[in-house]
Amino acid sequence: MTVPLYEHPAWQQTPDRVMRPGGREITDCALAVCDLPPGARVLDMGCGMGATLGRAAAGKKWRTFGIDISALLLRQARRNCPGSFFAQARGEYLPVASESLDAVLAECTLSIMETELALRECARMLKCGGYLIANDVYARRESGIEALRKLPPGTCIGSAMSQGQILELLDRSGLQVIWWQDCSEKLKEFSICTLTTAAAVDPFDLYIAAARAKMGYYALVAQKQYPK
Amino acid sequence: MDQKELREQENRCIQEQAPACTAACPVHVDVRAMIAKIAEGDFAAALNLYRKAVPFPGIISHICDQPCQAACLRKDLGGPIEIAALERACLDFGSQGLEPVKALPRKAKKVAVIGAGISGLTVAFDLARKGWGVVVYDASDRIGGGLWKTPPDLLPRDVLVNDLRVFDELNVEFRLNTTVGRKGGNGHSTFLARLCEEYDAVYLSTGPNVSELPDLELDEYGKVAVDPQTFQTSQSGVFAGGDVLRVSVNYPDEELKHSAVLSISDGRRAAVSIDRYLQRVSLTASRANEGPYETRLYTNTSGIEPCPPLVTTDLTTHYSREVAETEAARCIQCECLECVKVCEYLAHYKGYPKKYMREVYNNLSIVMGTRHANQFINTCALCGLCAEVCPTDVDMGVICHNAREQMVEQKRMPPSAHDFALRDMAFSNGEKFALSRNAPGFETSTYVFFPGCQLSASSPGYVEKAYQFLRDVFPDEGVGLMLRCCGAPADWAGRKDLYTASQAEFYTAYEQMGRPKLVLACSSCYQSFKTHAPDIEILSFWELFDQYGPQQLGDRKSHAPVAVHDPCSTRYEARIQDAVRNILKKMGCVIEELPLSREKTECCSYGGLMWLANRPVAEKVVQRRIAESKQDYVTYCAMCRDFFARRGKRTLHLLDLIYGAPGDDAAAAPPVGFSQRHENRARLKAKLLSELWSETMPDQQAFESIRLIIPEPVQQIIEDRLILVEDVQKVIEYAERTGKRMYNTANGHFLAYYKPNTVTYWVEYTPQEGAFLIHKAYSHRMEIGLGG
Amino acid sequence: MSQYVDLSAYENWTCANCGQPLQPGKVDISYMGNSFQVELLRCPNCGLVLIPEELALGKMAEVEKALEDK
Repeated sequence: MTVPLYEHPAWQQTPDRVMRPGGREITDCALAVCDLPPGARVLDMGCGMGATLGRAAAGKKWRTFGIDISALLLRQARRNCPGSFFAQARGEYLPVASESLDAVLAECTLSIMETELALRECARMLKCGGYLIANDVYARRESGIEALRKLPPGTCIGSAMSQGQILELLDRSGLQVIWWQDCSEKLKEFSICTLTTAAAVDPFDLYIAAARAKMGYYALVAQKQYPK
Repeated sequence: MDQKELREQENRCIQEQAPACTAACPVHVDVRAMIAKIAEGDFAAALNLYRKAVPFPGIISHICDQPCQAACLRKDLGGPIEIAALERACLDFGSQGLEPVKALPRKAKKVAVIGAGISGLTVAFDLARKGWGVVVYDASDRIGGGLWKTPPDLLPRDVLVNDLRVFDELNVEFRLNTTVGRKGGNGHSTFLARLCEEYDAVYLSTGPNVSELPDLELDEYGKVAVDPQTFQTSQSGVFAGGDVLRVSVNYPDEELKHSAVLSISDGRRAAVSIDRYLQRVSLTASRANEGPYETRLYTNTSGIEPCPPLVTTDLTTHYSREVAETEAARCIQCECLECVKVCEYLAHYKGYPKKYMREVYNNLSIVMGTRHANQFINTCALCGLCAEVCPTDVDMGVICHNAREQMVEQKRMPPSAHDFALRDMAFSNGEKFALSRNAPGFETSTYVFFPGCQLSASSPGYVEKAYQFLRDVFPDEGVGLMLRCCGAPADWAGRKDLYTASQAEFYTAYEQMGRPKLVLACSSCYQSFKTHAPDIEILSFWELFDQYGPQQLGDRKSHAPVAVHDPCSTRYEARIQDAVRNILKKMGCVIEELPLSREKTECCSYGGLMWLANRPVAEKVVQRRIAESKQDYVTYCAMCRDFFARRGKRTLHLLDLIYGAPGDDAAAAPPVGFSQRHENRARLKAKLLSELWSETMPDQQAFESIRLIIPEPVQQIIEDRLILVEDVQKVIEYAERTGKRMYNTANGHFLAYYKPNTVTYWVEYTPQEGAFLIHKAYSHRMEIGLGG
Repeated sequence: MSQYVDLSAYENWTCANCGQPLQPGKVDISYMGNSFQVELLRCPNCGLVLIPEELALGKMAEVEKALEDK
C-alpha cells in the first residue's frame, strides 16, 4: 500500500466528501455551543478537502484556515473553498502564532495524530477562552483497548482512547470540557468499508476489535482556561 | 429488582464479614491475613499488617488481653491459635521490614492531648499522621503513662521504649512535667475552657486519676459521660478515652479493668471523631462496627480435624521461626464460601455472591456491561442449591433469573444464548408434536397426562405405556393426554413474552378439556406449573405410580446398588423423592444416597439452559456429579439421564426399570441426539393420533421427504454444532427446487445455503440414488446482504 | 486484502445455477444493524455467494459474539 490512508481514491466516493462519521449535525451542534462572532479566527485541523470549512463557515464572516498533511487533499480544498487560507502541516507542529485563534476544529483527526502533542498545539494556538471543537471515535470499554492497538497502524479506530484518557489529556493541556455528547449511534451509519479498503485492514478483525472495545463516537467542546 | 432490594440481597451474603478474631478485636487487627503471611514466612509483611491496626505493636503483643483468642473458632478444635505469640514473632523476625510512618502535610489546627498514656499516645499518633498539630501534656517526666507500671518481665523496657520511638518520626510536641489544672491562668475559667480557647479540640486521657475532672457531665456510675460512638464528652470539642472512662468519681477504689488494646481502640475512635470535628463534617456518618462486635461470618468447621498447638504459650513465650510458621498453618483462615463449595459455576468465576451480585447489577444499570457479566448471568442453572446451603439463604438463581428478564426487556440478551432451546420449544408447541385430546370415548377429562417434551423425545415408547397405565388406573374418569412444552425454557431464558404465549395456549386446551388435574412426569414441568399456575391441581406421576402401581416390581437384590440422582427441580418435593425411593425398594433395589441428594441435589446442567449458555462450565458441573459414585445412577428426569449418558456414565431412567425389557442393559443405552428427539416427538404424536383417535397427522412439508445419508463422523459434527436433520433437509430442498447451488468441478460436490429463520445453514452434498449424501454442514448468524 | 480466507483453495467451485465459475467480488454481510463489505467468491451473474466453513466458524462467529455482547 503506497498511498496514505486518507488519500485513497475510495474517499472520493463518500457522500458530502466527508471522511468521518456524524456528518454535519455534530459540527453544527458543537458550533452552536460556541456561538462564535463574525471575524472569529477558526482553524480546521485536518481539513481534508475543505468540506466542513466550506459549509459550516458559509455566511458566518469568520476568518477561516485549514491545515492538512496531504498536499493532494489541499489542492482540492483550495478549489472547494476559495475564501479560506490553506497550508500543509502536521497537527503536532503547526505554523500558527500562539494565542491567535478563537476556535479550532479537530474532527476525527486527533485519534490519528500524536494526540497529546496535537492538543498542546491547540491549547497554544487558542486565545484564552477560545474553543476546541473535537469529535472522534472513543472506546467505551477500556478492557478492549489492548486489542485495538493490535490492529494494523493508521486507523482512527485502532488508536481510539477511553473517555477518561481523553479528558485527562485535555486537562493536562489546560482545556476544560464544557460540552460532551455521546454520538455513538452515528457510527452505525458510517460504513467502515471505505476505511477497510483504504487501510487494508481485515474487516472482520476491525469489527471484532471495535465491538469488543465498544467503539463509540463523541463530540465535545473544550475551552482554554485563563491562567490562575 | 431495584437498587434498595439489590443492596439488601448483597448484604445477606456474609463472605466479606470479618472472622471472629478480627471482630472481637477492639482495633480489628486483620489476624487472618497476618497469620497467612506468617505461614508463608513473610514476617515483615505480617508485621506491617499488624501495625496497620496497632500503633504500638511491641507493647500490645506483650500485654494484650487477647479477646481474639477467646473468639477463635479453633478453641473447640484443639485450642485457639496462639495469636499473641505469633504477634511477638512478627516483631522478632520482621522488624527490619517495618515501613516508615507517613504523615500528611501540616494543617493549621491543633489538638491538645492531656495524658501521655497509651490512649493519648494513640490519638497523638493518628492525628499527627493526618497532619494536625498535636501537643501532648503529661504530669510525669516521660511518655507512656501506666505502661511503666507493667512489670518488666511482661513488658521489657527496651520493647516499650522502642515502640515509643515512633514519635521521633512524627511532628508531635510533648510538654512533660506539666500538670494541666486550675493552677495558672486567670482563675476565672476552668483549665478546660482555657484549653478550648488555645486548641481546636481536646482529648482527655488522664488515666485513673479522677480527682481533677473539670466540669464534665458524669454518668450514673460516676464515670465521665461520653457518646458511646464518638467519644465526645458533654462539652463540644472535648473528647475522652482510655482508663479515665473506666474509673468512677464515686467509687475511686473500685478495681480497674485495664485493657491496653481497648484504650488504643478508644483513642483511635476518638481520633476519627476529632479529625471529623476539625473538618466540620458529621461525627457519626458511616461508623458501623467500630470497637468489638460479634461477626455475622459463618465458617463451616465440620471437616476440620481438632489439633492442638505445637507449643502452648504464656505472655513471655517467644516462638522460633519454624514453630511460628507451624502454628500459623493451624489457622483455619475462616471464611464462608458454603455455596462455592457445592457449585462448580460459582467456583468457576472465582468470586462469591456478594461480588457477583454487584457485577450483575452493574451490568444492568450501566450501559457498558462486560461480556463477562452477560455470560455469568446466563450460566446459572437456577437450581437453588446455593440458597439451600447458604446460612442466610442467598439465592443466585433468583438474581440471575431476574437479570435475564431485565436484559430481555432492555434488548441486550445475546440472541445466540438460548435460541436453540427456544426453537426446540417452538417445535414442541407446533403441529408436529402439540396435541390435546380427551381419553378415547370421553367428552371431558378428570385427569390429563402431561409427559413433557423431553421424556417424549427420549423415550416415546415409555410415554405410551405410562399413558396406558393411567387409563387403567382411572378407567371411569377420563384421562386425557396433552403433548406440548410447559414453557420452562422460555422462563429460564427470561422471555416472559414467549412463556405467556405458551401458557395461554395451554390454558385454552385446559379449559376445553374441563380443567383436569395435571399428571406430570417431568419435575421441571412440575415446578413450572407449581410456580406460574398455582390454581391448577398438579400431581406427580411418581406418586401415582407408587400408590396405584404394582406393589411388587421384580427383584433386583442381586444387582449392585444404584445411586439415586434427584433432578434439581425436585429439591423441596420430598414426597416425590420418597415415592421414587419407594418404587425402587419395591423392585428390590439397594439404594445409595449420593453425598448431595434430596434438598441438596445438584443440577445436571440442563437447568437454566446452562449447557447452551456456557459449555465449559456445564461440562465441569456434569463431570463433578458423575464422579460422585461408581454405582450406576437412577434418575427420573429424561434430561438428567441423557446428559449423564452423553459423558459415558451408566444411568437408568426410572421408567427403564418399570417398562424396560428385562434383557436390555438400559444403563448403557446411548443418549438421544437432537434431531432424533424431534423425530421421536413427531412419531409419538402420529402413532397415538392414529391408534387412539384414528386421526392422521397434518400433511408433510416438502422438505420432510428429502432423504439423507449422513455418515457417522458427520452426524457427530452436526450434533455438536446444534444443526438438526430438518435444517439440512430444508437447505437441500430449497437448493434443488430453485437451482441455487454451487458445484465443485474437482470432486462433484454441491454446496448450498438457506436461511429458514434467523440462522443460515450450509450443506455440502452429493445426490445419490434418490437420496443425498452429506459431506459437511455448518451455520452462521450473520446475514448475507444488507439485512433487514 | 482477502487475508481472512484463502480464496485459491476454492478455485474449483462454480455456480451450478448459471454454469459460470465463481469470481472474487464485494459482498455485503450484516448482523444486528451493522453491515460491512468483504471480498468473497460470488457468481457475477446471479449473486450466489460462497462462505467457506472456516470463515463461518471462525471470524464470522467471533464477530457475531462480539456484536451480541452489548
